Formats: sequence, structure tokens, C-alpha cells
Amino acid sequence: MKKAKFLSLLMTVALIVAVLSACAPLGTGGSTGTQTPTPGQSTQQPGTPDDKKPEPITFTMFVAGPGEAPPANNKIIKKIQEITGVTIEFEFLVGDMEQKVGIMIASGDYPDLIGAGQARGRFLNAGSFAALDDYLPNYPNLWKHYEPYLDRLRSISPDKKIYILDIWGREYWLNDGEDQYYEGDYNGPAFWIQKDVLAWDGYSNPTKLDDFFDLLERYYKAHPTIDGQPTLPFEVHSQDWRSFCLKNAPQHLIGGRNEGDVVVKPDTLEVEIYQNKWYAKDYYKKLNEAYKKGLIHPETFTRNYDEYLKVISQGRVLAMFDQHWNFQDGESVLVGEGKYERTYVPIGVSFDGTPMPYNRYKSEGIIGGNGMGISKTCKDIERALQFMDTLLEEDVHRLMYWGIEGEDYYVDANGRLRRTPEQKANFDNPDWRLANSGIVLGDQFPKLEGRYSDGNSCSAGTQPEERLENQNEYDKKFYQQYGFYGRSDFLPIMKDPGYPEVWSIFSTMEDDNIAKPIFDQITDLQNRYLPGVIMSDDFEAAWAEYVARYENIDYRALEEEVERQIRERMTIY
Amino acid sequence: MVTKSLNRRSEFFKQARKQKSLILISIPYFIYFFIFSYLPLWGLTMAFQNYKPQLSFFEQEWVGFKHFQNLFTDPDFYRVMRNTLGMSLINLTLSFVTAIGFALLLNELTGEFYHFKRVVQTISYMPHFLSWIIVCGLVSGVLSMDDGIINELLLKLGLIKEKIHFMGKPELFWWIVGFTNVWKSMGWNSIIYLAAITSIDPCLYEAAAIDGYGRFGRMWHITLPGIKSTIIVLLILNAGWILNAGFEIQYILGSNGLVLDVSETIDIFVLKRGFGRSGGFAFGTAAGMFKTVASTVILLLCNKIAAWLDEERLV
Repeated sequence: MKKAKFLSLLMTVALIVAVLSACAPLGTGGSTGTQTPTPGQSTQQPGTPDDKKPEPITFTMFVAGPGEAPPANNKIIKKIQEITGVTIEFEFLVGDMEQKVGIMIASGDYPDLIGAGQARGRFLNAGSFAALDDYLPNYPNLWKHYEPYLDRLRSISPDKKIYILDIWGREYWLNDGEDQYYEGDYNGPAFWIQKDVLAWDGYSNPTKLDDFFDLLERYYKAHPTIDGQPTLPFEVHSQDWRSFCLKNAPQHLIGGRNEGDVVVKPDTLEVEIYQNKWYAKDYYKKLNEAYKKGLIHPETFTRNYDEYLKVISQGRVLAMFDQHWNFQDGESVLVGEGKYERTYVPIGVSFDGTPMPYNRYKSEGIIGGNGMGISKTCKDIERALQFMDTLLEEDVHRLMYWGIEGEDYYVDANGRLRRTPEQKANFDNPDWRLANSGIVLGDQFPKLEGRYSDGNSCSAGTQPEERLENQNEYDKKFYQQYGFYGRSDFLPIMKDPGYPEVWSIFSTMEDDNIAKPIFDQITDLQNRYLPGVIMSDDFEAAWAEYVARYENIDYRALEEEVERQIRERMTIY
Repeated sequence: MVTKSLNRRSEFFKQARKQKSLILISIPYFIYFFIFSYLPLWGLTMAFQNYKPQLSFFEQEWVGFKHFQNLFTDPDFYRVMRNTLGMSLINLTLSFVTAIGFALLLNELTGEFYHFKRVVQTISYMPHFLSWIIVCGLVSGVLSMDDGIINELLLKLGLIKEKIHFMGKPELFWWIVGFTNVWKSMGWNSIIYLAAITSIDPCLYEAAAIDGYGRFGRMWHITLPGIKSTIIVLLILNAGWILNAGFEIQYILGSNGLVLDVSETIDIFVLKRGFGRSGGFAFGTAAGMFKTVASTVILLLCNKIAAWLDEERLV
């Protein structure tokens, strides 16, 4: 039939067009990806002073984490624009990270810069980043920043090249015996509790799990409402990837660091999954009891992240297991309103009352993979690196993390950077900070931590004089009662065990690693069952069913694989 | 093309010339569908590969039907199919019954109630224009235990002793979805039935009134048979969508561990597996392909059944 012939011809044409169009973006993507850098050819010779004003350029940046883009008229960012010529257009994550990132990878449509966050593994495995090995030595500040840790940067990628530059963890110390006063506040996982609850209990420190919940119960009975709203004694957030609030406590209760989904025995490096172990059971049993007593509101499991932040910002959540950065946006509303008694401190809760360090350990350098990268489709890799290099200049860095001298801080007779109470109050207000500070920018790029060469702190919040003087009256009195310097002192400090936190191994695992599907299954099972276990009428039965399902998963293969990778990384560390 | 002359080619061009303007008019549509409906079909090849986005098409590893095998042996797949079909049936039944019922009731408002009818109709289809994210916000607010109006109401009426955690009860989830759909789309769906009703010959009503039928009699014997063909066409159309139980509402309201088992539809499954897990593009594509093929089969089947019943058909 002629008709059929015509049709088949048409289909052939269609197919050819399809092949061509399908290949085109990949082809171009590949060619930029393999572009070899030619050192010395960059438009701006690094290290030499610029005579002329740099050409304006705009980089797009996706950040795989929460945040808000600064307004265009932010005074600091404007200044940095004048210095570098670079404008950064931020896109922060909204909604589900895995899906957002998956779509980005599938389309090959990358921004110039990528704040990899928890999605580092997805980006690495998809080959989204440009390798920076040959570029780094050309940028003196960046090179100084990363040179001691090149192996760690390389260790996380499938082909052992540098793709992600850590933005946290590179600290500069003067070793003059005063360094410890410059450490930042503890930001990691812990049982966080409102200061007022502790103050009401005579400034106690309930490090025993039973005491902790007992205190919540007593306080709740005495204060059924806060500011007219019902009190929520304990929140268990469990949405999407933030379900670490639900799951990660047991590892710390027995003294472990934040490894994610496994516990590592420090001496033998044996790895074990813990969501089905006794310490997990004891913990969830406690939560089940708390639920039955009404200390955990059932809606805690159905609240989305925004609603979670909302109830925290209302000041009516007494305690939760979380990482500080995850609920910070809710807490900073309380700080802005001056409700310091409703802000939180970490407690090192354990089963027997021994205070546990949680994730407070003296880190020895960067982890590797905890940062940002330059996408292979970036319009100008050298300019981007030049920009990052400039941000590490102490003057520029001070601009970002302290502000403008005379406006945001002053320098006293001893050359110390100081702030007036008003200047600090401004800074504590998140809205002000977004519009007037460079922190939003700096946080997404490699940064200096610790102390500048002149001895001042690298960021305003950790300047010791200030912490003592400008601490609000409530906090001053509160910490005095304990004889503490700040909230971190609630937790004992532990030694760096010498291998990277295991979650970073998980998140950079290659796609076809055998542990990957097992990990997905385990995550799925936990997210699906644990809320039900906590809310169950018959805890033992619910737990038994959950553990039985756990046994259907070949989690031992995962334990072995993780153990193997830890041993591999030990040699680099 | 009835004649099978030797010179069919010239015949073809002759006809083409005659229909020149028609062909010209159809070109933009042809291009549109080619680009947006046919070209993407190429992506289905992913379902048969061990697809890795960083490799070019020729570097991909072909794995045959492996992903389909995985799909059909995946217990989660049967769970999401159950959810999809369950919610679809509830949606379909509720939305049909309410939309038709609403149209019938509105139709009875005549004469002095005419303005009231217009107001009711306008208000009733307004929710159709709200985005799901807003609707879901409203639903979770209304059903909240904190200060949700439903819980307050039931409590005040003495119907319940303590507040119900609506959003955390798996057995309620499908119904919440169903009734939210009703609220959102009942007014909109009824428009088409109201339009169909206006085409019924008024003489029939007069005749029925003379024969002694009351309001309900006329509804049952005149109005409903009058819009029967519309109902069946819409039923066939909607049956083709039976695997589209929705996406947004389940995704927004059902993503917590308590109701996840009953909330995930096939669309969410495709999204989560396809984009949510590394290396899942191929598996997600296979699942999506299954859905498309199954939907087409169901649509054709419904069409056959309609033909068999000697009713209106689509194709």
C-alpha cells in the first residue's frame, strides 16, 4: 500500500530528526566538559592587581538546600559586585531535593554554580561538575585553602578528580592559646530544649533520656499553653529527607557521632545499621510513651517543613531532636522578637545520664564533598574561580562577615573588631541580614573560619569580647547559672575519629554500588513505619512487625560495603 | 482514494492542490504535535537501557525488558496501582454523581430564582480556578487538630469526644481526596450538563406536566434521558483517565509516613523512582510507559463497550 509506504517514510524522517535533536545537547555538553584549561591564558591573571574594572558577569547558582536569595540592592553584595564584577543569581531549593536535582540532571540544564548540599552524590555521578584539578594552583587563596586537603577533595569522586570544593571546615588558627574562644556555636544534631524549660527547673541539665521527657511532662503540665497557643512538648519532624529528625537520635544516645544511618565501632571500625537495634527500640519506646502521654502531638508527623518552622517560631515547641541549622529559621523569629527564653540549647542526652558529645568534635580540616562545584556548562570557569578566590581575601571576607567599618562594626584602640548593641541587634534580625549583610552570599562559597591574621574572628558572631558583652541579658544570666561560655558547652567534646562522617560516604556512592538500592529500601521502610510505631497502641507488636520487615532487607551487604569504604578512606585521612 | 487508477500519484497531488489551504492550515498543528507529542516519544528508548544521563545515546547499555520485569515484581507497584484505581473510582463516582445532581438541582431553579441560580453557579465553579497548593492548604487547615473548623464543629455538636487526626488516618485519606475533588470541581463539571439540559425540548416538560409528573418525575423521565448521551461520552472520556488519580493533592497532603501507604499514586511512583533515586530514570520511564499503554487500552475498551451498548462513541 502506497499509504503505508508514505507513512514509513515519514516515520524514518521523524526518527532521524529525533536522533539528531536528542544528540545535540549531549554533544555540546560533552565538548565544554572536556575543555582543557590553559593556565596563564585567563583574561585576568590571578595574583596580579587589576588595573581596569572587571567586566560584569552574571553567574547562576542553584543551592540544594533551604535559603532565600538576597535582594539586588543588598549593600554588601553590591560592593562585592563592584570589586569583582560578578553578580550571583541564586536559586534555592524549594520542595523535594531529589526530584529537583533529578530533573536538572535529566535535562542537562545546569546553572553555572551548584551548591551541592545533600545532592552531592547525584551531581557527581551524573558528571555535572567541571574538574578543577588543573585550575586550582592558579588561584593563590583557593590553593592555600585547599592544598593540604587535595586527597580528601578527590576521594569522593568516582574518577578521583576535584569537583566539589568544601565550603565549611577549613579553619585558620593562630595557636596563641586563645583559639578555643573563637569556636562557633554548636550547630549540629542534639536534643534541643527551650531555655525557659531548664530555667523553670532550676537550671537543670537533664542528660538522662527519662529525665528529659519527665521534665517536658512537668513543664507541660504547668504550662499547657504558651502565648495563648497549646504547648507542643516534643516535635518529631519527618518530612522527606528531613526525616533525620525522626531517625538519627539513637546513634547519639549511645555516644556516636553523626554518621547518618549507621553506627561505627571506633576501635574495630565495624559498621552496623541501628534502626533495628536495642538502642533504637528503647528510644522509640520512649517516644511511644511520650505520645501516649500527649507529649507528642499526632500532627507532628503530618506537618510539612513550613508548618514545623511555624510552630517553632510561635515559641510553643519545648523540645525536639534536630540539627540547629534545620530549625534556625524558626528560632531566629523568636530572637527577632526578643523572646530569648524560647530559644534553644542542645542537651547531650543518653540512656544512663552520661552527657554525650553528639556531633561536637574537633574537626581536623574539611570532610570532602561538603560544598559547591562549578557545573560543566558554566559560562566562564576561570572567572568563577577568580571570584571565589577574591572572596577568600581577608578584606573582602571581612566585608561579607562583618560588614562595612563604621556602619556595621567599629575598630577599637587595640585593633579589635567590635559592634555596638544596635549593630548586633541589626545583625540578629534575619530580614535585616538578608538585605544588608554578605553572609547569604558568603555561606554558599568557600570561606575562612577561625581567625584572621590580625587575631580577630573570621565572623562577627564568634568574636569573644562580643559574645560576652553583647549577649542579651537573658542569655548572659542563663549561661552564668551554668558557668558556661555559650550553648556549645552543654555538650562534651570528642576526638575526631579519623574518617569522614559516614553520611558523606553514602551521599557520594556511585549509582551502581550494591549498597545503594539497599539504602533506598531501608530509608523507605523507616520513613514509612517509624511514625506508626511511635503512634501505635501496642508498641511491642508494632516494633516486631517493623523489625520483621527489616530482616527482609539484605542490610548486611550494606554494612560490609560501608565498612570497606571507611577503611579505604582511613588511608587518605 | 476509491479509484485505483494507474496514476495514483498525480491523483494525490491533484487532491493536495485542491486542499492546499487546508493543508496550510494544518501545518502549524502538525509541527506542534510533532515537536511536543511525537518527538518526546523517542525518550521511551530509555526504558530499555541502563540509562545514564552523562553518556550519549550510542554509549548507553541496552538491557531489554529488565526494567519492566523489575516493575512487575515490585510490591510497591501493586500498592500504587491499588491506590490509583481506588482513588480514581472514588473520584469518578463522586464527581459524576455530584456534578449531575448539582446540575439537575440548579436546573430546577427557574423564574424568580433565576438570579440566585446564577450566583450559586458562579460561586460553585470558582474553586476550579484555585491551584492545588492553595486547596491543600485550605484542606489541611480545615481538618487540622489545632483550630480546624471541622474538628471544632464536631466537638461542639457533641459528635466526637476528642479531636480526630484526619490527615494521619490512612482509612480516611482516599475520601479526603475524593471530597476535596468534589469541592474543587463539582461546579465546573456541572456546566457541561447544564448546557446539555438546555438543549432538551421544553415541550417534553409541558407534556410530562400534563401527564401528571411532578418535579422528580420530570427529572427522572425527561432530564436524565435527555442528557444520557452526554453522560456516556464523558464517562468514556474519564474512564480513559482512570490511571490519572491525581498527583498534587496526594503529593502535598500524603507525603508523611502515616498515610504514604495509601497516598502514593502511579504518577508519584514514577516521579519518585524516576527522579528521586539515582539511576532511576530508566525505571521511571518504564513505569510511565506502562501507564500510558494501559490508559490507551482502557480507553479503547470503554469505547468498545459503548459501541456494544449502541451508544455514543468517541472513535
